[in-house]
Amino acid sequence: MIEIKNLSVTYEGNIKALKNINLTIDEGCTMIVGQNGSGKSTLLQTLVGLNKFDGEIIINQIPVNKTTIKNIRQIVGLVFQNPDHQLFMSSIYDDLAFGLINQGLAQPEIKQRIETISKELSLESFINRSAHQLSGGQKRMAAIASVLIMQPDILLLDEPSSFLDPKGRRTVIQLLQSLHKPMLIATHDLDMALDIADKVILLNDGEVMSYRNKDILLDQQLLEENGLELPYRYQR
Amino acid sequence: MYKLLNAMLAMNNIESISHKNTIIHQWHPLFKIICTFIMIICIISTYQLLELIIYTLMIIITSLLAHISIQKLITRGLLGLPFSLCLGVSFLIFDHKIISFYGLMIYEGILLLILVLLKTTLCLMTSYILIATTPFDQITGELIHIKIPSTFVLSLTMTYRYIYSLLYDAKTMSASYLLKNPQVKGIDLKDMGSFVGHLLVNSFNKSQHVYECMLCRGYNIETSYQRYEKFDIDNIFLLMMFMSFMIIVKVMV
Amino acid sequence: MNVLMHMADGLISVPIGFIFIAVAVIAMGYSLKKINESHDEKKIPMMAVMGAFVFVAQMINFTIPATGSSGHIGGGILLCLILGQYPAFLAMCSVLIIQCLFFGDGGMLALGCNMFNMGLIPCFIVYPLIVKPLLKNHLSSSRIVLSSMIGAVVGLELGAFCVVLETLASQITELPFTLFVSLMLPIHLAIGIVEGIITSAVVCYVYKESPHMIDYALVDKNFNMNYKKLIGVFLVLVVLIGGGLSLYASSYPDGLEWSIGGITGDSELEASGEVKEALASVQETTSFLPDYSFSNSDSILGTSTSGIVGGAMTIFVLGAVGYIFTRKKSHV
Repeated sequence: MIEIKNLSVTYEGNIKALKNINLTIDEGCTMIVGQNGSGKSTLLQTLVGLNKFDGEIIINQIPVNKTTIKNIRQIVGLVFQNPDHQLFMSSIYDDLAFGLINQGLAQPEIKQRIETISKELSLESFINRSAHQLSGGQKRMAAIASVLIMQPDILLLDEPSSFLDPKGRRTVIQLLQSLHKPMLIATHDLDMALDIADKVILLNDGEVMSYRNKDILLDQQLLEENGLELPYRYQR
Repeated sequence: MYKLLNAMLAMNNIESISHKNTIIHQWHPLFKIICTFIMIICIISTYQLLELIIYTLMIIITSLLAHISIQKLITRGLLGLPFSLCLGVSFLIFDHKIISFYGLMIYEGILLLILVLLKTTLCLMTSYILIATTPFDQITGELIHIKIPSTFVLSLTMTYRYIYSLLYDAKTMSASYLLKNPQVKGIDLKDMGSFVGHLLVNSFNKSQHVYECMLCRGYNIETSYQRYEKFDIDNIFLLMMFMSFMIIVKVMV
Repeated sequence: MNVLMHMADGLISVPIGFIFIAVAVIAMGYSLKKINESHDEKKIPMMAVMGAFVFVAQMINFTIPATGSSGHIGGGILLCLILGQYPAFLAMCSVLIIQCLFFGDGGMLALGCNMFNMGLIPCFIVYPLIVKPLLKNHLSSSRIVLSSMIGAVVGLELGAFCVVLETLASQITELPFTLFVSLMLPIHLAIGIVEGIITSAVVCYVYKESPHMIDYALVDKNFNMNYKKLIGVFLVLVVLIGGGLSLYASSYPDGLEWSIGGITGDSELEASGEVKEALASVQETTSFLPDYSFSNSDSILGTSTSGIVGGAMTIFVLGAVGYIFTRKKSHV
C-alpha cells in the first residue's frame, strides 16, 4: 500500500526531522507512536507532499512527486491535528462541500454526500453552524467528516484524540474502529493505539526504532528508552 | 479584556439568532440584501419626518416578525451616535433659521440634528436586521450569485471564521498578560510591539497551516466556493411588491 | 477613536455612497486580477487570516503613558508589509464588510467610502509611494521605524481628510471646511503618531523573529506597481469622483427622485386635479423642511406624482398576485 525508501526530510536551518526511513505499510490500521518532536506529523505531511523530501514514496503504485501530487491527494486524506485549521469556512456545510467542489462534483451529488455523511457521523444538529460554535468533540468529528467525504482510499490522522474529553475520545475511537479503511494514525495516546492498532511504528528523533505488531506497546523498556510510558491501563 | 470577549459574544449571539426559523429568515437571502440596500437608500435620501416614521414602523414590524429583541436592535442603532452627534451639533451652531413645525416655532438646526441622528440609527438597525436574519454563509453565497469573484468571497468567509479563532487567542494572551501585570488597564505601550508582533507571527503560521489543509483537499484558485439558492420567480414578485411600496411611500409622503 | 474613521450611513448622501462603492469595486477588481495573475494560491488563506489579525489587533487596547487614555492600531500599512498592497487591500475590504455587518462600525452604503479611506489610501497611495521606496534595498530597523511612522501618519491624515471631503460633499454638516479640517487633522495626527510607534514596534519585532515574512512581500515582483498605470488609475478615479460630485452639486435634489423623474418623463403622466390637490394638502401638513423636500418644489415631479403612485400600485398588485400564484403552485 505505502512504500517508503530512504526517506529524509530536512527543515530550514539544517534540522533533520526524518532520517533515512524505510517502511512498507500494509492495509489495516497502522499507528505511529513517539514522543513530541519525534517526526510523526512530519511523516504524515510528507506522505501527501507538503514537505520537500529526499528518497522515494510510493502509494498504491504511484510515486509521490510534483506531477502526481494532485492524484495522491485524491487517494490519501489527511486529518490535521488542530481542527481549527481544517475547518476554515463559515459553516460546516461549506467545509464539507469545499473538497467536493474542488473535485468538480455537481451540486446535487455534493448535497447527497453531505446528507449521507452527516447522518453517519451524526452532524445534523450543527451542519449549518460555523466551527467556532461547536464543542471540541463536534469539531473533531466535523474535521474527520470533511476528509472522509472525499472518499479517500487511505486515511491519515494526526493526533485524532487530542483536545477531547473522555466521551469525545471514545466516540472518535469507535468511529475509527468502524471505518474499515486503511489508516495511518500518528499519536502519543497509547491507550487508543492499543484499542485500534494492527501494527505499530515507533519513532524517535526522526528514526524508526521498531515496527511490528502492537505488543510493542507493552514493552516497558523499549517505550521508556524512547521517551514514552506504558498505556495508562497497565500503569500501577 | 472585555472588548475582545464582547466581540466574541456579539458574534456568537448574531450567529445564533440568524439561524432561527421565522418568515423573515425564510426569505431568499438575495432578496433581503437588495431590500436592505433599497431601505438604506430611502432612509438616507429623505427629509420628511413622516417617511422616517413609516420606515421606523417597518423596521419594528420586521424585527417583531423575525423575533429580534427590540433592546438589541436599539443598542445597535445607538452605536453610530457619537460621530453623528459631533457633526450634527454643527447644525445647532450654524443654523438659526426659525421655522414652523406643525405650528411649533422651532430652530431648523434642531430638526436637522434630530434628522441626522435618526437616519444614522435607522440605517444601523436595517443592516442589523439583515445580519440577524441571514446566516453569514448565505450572504457570502449570494455574493457569488451576483458574480463577485470566488477568490474574494472565499477569503471573506475565511476571514469571518478566523476572526473568532484569533479573538480567542488574543483574549487568552491578554488575560495572561494582565494576570502577571494586575495594576495596568491595557497593554503597556512598550510591550505592544512584542505582544501584537507575537500574535502576528502566530497568525502567519496559522495561515500556512490552513493553506496546507486546503491543499490536501484539492484546493485550486479557480473553483473553491459556490453555493447559493436559486432566485425563483416568486422572489421577483416579492421584490416588485417591496419596491412599489417604497415608491408609494416616497411619492405620497 | 475607531468611530471617527468608520463613516456611518446617515452621514453620507446616496450619490456619494455609490461613487465610492464604484471606486472600491474597481480597485477590488484590479487587485483580484493582479492576484490571479501571480498564481499565488497561498495568498487566499493569508489574506483571510491576516485580515482577521488586523481586526483583532484593532481591538487590543494599549495604554498611552502619561495620558491615561488608550488607543489601537489601524493596520493597513502592517498588512501591506506582510502581504503586498493588492492582497492587503482585499483583506481590509473583508474586515470592513464584517465590521459593518456584525459590529455596526460603518454603514453598508458607506462601505465604499470606508474602503477608500482605510484601504485604498494606505494600500495604493501610502505604501507604494512612501513605505516601499523607503524600505526597498535598505531593509533595516531604523528604516522600518522611519517608514512605518511616516506611513501611518500620512495614511491616517489622508483618510481623515477624505472623511471631511465625503461628509461635506454629502451636505450633511454645516461645519465650514476649514473648521472641520482643523478639527479632524490634529486629532488624527496624534492618533497617527501613536499608531506609527506601535506599527514600527510590531514590524521590528517581526523583522527580528522571522525576517522572511517582511522580505517576502517587498521583493514580490508580481506586485511591483507600474507607475504609468497607477497614474492612469488615478485619473480614472479623479474623473469618477469629480464627475459624480459635480453632478451632485448641480440642481438635482437627490439621486432617487432624480431617477424617478427620468423614468416617468413629464407630460404623459398628468395628474388629475382632485388627486393632485389632495396630495398637495397632505404634503403641506407633513413636510417640515420645504427647502429640502421635493414635494413643494416646482419640478416636473410634482405634477406626475399621482401617475407614479398609480403605476407603483399596479406593480404592487401585480407582484402580490404573481407571488400568491407562484407560491400556491410551488406548494402543490
